[in-house]
Amino acid sequence: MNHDPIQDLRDALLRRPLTAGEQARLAHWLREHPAEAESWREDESLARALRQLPAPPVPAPFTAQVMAEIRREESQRHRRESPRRAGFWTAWQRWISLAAAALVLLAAITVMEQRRSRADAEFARQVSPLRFIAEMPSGLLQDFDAIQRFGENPPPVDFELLAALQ
Amino acid sequence: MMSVEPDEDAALMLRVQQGDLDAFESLVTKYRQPIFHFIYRTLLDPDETEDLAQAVFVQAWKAAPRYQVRSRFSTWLFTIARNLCLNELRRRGRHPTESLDAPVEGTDSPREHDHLDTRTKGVEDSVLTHELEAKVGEAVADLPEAQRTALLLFKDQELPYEEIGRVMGVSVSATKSLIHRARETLKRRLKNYLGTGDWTSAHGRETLPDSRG
Repeated sequence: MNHDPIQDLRDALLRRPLTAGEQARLAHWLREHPAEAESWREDESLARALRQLPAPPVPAPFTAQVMAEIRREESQRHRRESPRRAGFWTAWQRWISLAAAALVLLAAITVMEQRRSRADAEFARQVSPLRFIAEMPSGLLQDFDAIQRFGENPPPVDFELLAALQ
Repeated sequence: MMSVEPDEDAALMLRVQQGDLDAFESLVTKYRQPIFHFIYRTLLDPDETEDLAQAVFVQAWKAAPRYQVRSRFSTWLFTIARNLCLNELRRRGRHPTESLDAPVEGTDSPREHDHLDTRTKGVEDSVLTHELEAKVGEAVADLPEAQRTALLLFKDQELPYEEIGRVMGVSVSATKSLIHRARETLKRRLKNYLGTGDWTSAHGRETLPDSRG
């Protein structure tokens, strides 16, 4: 890198004409370095040529065109994202439906299980008075069927025997 | 040239990040000329310049969510502009331009202007000015990319060395070196024009300070 003591002036010259103070500094420096006068003259000429390069005109509708392009891009982006959003919600809705169906099924199973439970408990309550039968000695019930039949089919009335007895 | 107001630009960009199109339009209005100028001086193609300048702002809009306030908006925007220019230059490849020293068909060499009739001086000045502008413009466009970008950002956009370094991803000293080399390259390439005095006669001369005191 060049550590030219008038580097700042060379840089400033690229952007604008030198101020009076800068001109004075330059004059002082050139008095001490007369051999640099020609180089400085080139710098000055180049800087002036660069500064005077015309800026290209921006077309009048440029900003409107940029904004129209951006609005078009935004519109396309929204259109691209809408199906994705719809897909996202459809997926969610599907999962929610599945979860709801599973909940209904679970609730139904629970209700049925509770009903069956209650029925079992009721049956147990109803048969509990007969619990003593299970506790009877096994021989006691060996003629149970015959005894049972006495109750179910009473023997036919023997009227002749009854009359004789009377 | 452009005045850099980072706070105002950053505030606008924060609104842009919320989707505020009006805020972005303000930034486009403020920076369209500097961006246009930068791209034009890089590509020297008015049609391509318009397309690319538009692409810069569209790209800036798309990238707005990634903008961070700690960097200047102008630095960020010129980084986008430079990248798009580089892409364009890579895409088209650089075509070698005609020699600056070779006479251009239909125009005169600088020395030949010395002999023109003084009655045509006004017309001559106009043609000369146009020719010199074209030559200087071509010389700038022909600079190596890094030198040209550093020079344009320094000269036209008046970005400080630090900001130019950020745009280009180089240090401050490297930035100064690039600007220095750009100036030396231009002086060498335009020596015939700068030395003739034709440029100064066409534009009016800024006088060299009297070195004799």
